[in-house]
Amino acid sequence: MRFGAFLRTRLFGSPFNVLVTCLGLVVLGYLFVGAINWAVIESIWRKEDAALCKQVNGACWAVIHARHRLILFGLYPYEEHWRSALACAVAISFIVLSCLPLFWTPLRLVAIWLTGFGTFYALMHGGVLGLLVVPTDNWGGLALTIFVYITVIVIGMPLSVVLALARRSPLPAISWMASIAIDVTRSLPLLTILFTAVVIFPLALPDWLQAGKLYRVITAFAFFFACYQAENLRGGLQGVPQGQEEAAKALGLKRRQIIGLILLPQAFRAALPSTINQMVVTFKDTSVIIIIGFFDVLASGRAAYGSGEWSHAYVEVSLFLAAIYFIFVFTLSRYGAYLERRMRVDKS
Amino acid sequence: VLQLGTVACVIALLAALALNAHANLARLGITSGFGFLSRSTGWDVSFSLTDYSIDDPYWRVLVVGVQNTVFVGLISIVLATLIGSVLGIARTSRNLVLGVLSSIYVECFRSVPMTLQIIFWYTVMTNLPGPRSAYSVADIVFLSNRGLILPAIHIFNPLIFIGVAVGGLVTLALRSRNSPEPGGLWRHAAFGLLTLVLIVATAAIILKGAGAPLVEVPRLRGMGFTGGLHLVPEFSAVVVAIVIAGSAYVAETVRGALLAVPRGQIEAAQALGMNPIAIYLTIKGPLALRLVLPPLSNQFMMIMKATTIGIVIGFSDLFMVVAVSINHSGQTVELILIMMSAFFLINYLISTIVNAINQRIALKDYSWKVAAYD
Repeated sequence: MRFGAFLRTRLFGSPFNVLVTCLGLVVLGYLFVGAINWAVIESIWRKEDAALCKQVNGACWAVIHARHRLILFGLYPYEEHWRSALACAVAISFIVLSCLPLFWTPLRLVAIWLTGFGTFYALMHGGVLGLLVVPTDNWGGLALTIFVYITVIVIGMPLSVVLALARRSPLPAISWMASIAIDVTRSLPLLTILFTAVVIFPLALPDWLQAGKLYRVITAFAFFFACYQAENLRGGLQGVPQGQEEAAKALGLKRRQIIGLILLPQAFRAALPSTINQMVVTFKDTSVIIIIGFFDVLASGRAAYGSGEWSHAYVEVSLFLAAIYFIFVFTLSRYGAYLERRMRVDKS
Repeated sequence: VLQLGTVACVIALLAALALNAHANLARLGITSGFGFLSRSTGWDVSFSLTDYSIDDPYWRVLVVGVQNTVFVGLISIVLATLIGSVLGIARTSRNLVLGVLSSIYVECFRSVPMTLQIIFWYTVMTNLPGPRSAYSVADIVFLSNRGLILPAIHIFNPLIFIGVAVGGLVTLALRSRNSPEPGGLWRHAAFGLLTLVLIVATAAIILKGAGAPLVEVPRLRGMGFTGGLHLVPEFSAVVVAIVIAGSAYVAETVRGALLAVPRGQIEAAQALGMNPIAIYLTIKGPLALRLVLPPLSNQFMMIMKATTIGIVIGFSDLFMVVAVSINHSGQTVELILIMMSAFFLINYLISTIVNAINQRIALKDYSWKVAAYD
């Protein structure tokens, strides 16, 4: 009976609905059968069988088998790939750890991000514990994407707090400057900001402050992230009732204590869904560094089908890259949606 | 004191940076100023709406860049909004199959970076068969590795702009007589349609008088095509990628707005015995439209900004034109200032226009809106 009701309301409610359902099922079935046929049944998986790729209609996954190291690790020295892989695993695990409520105290979050980041850098760069030094020029593939991403967040997060507080500052000149910086940055495309950093910094900075191109890009990217995140935090700060601040003042707390103990924790909590959304967007945005000339996971993927022998396999490589981004982005955004639902329940 | 100190620090920092930049530029032998704009460039662009040659000066190539950015942006915004609205409505539909299909589309294209999508569609386009074995629709639309070839409608004739102006004026005159009341959504739509018809009619009449064909069909000749509107792969790939990804973002916005329409309004309409289509057109649609506009303007700006990624496949938008100009002329600071002000202006215009529309159609009593956001 309930199943019947389900069919009636969700699938076959009216003649129009019957039509839509049938058409939709045909499309779904066609897509599904086509995808299975192409990706699984008629596909070639091992690089030893690569010669067969031209004879079948299916996917040529052999390209992934043959080139996965190039895609994931780029130009990193071949014997040291395990370090790159381990570093990626470390990065992913501390991102996952920071999603657990157990670690949601300011101290613990900062601690795991800094240790995680330190471990990642030590593994990638080497020079400690007898590891061979690998300069950042040789980093590439997924590890470079992850490095840019976590560095942007590690620098950008504290900067966003500064910007958000500056914008709310009672001193007009400070809040005015912060507003201009935030609003101008937000109205410009990320790419133009990164590009500006690459071409202007060498002109404007004195020689002793010149850093590598990678660090110029990361600094600009972190500032860009901070401007967006500062607006999220400002939303959170506005959500803290006025009475909280007044009560803290009445208790004789100092301004630093009011901000650190009363305002920021509540603001971060209220801004959590938009913060996670920002982190998702930032991960996708890291892909533009290919345009500035870095060998990130997109560039190494492009290189993987760039040579003549694999040039026919661009769909397979693109899907593999898309899957990497999809897994990260989809999981994190589902997690954000879950948090939002949970917080709504908490409130009511 | 803190305030003065900070301001002084920032000013000192900026001054130091400017001085340093000035010294460095002087060392490289680059004269500052905007005089370079009238020098000729000496390089070509991949796509231009108006005639452009390598002898043209820098300001012309910058204009081409702005044109391309705005053109791609506007086309993508219009198409993404149309497709996205349909998808957004489908996602909120009670029909399970429709919901699943649109969810797959939205989640897939929203979770993959725009850069990857642009590269992918460009690779697909350049791997299409050559002109001789092009895919064609009724022999008037061709798709090959040379790009998409469409019948040309000569709307970039200067006479057309006169037509547009006349059509617009006539419509304005008609509109001011029947001043629209709140809720006169259909009247707005009717006026929009009327303007379009007037423009096309005027254009057709003028062009017939001028002896030029309004529509020119492309023909396969030798190894390529003659006539018609030639959309190079760079252009087509950027538009396809931005429209597909953009429509997924728009769909989420539309879905959010539809879900935010207070249930009471719908239930009241149902209680009055209105049929579902009427509820959609007169209650849910208009209410959701007012909720969707503010977040939608953010999506429009996102789409405008996304056009810069076209550089990854060599589409000559404003950003690419500026980047190449910097490479050739070395006028870094000036060109970056021009680029930033152009993007700032474009985005400012978008938000102003959308805000104006939003205010014009705003409901007088908006207490329900507050409730919806709570």
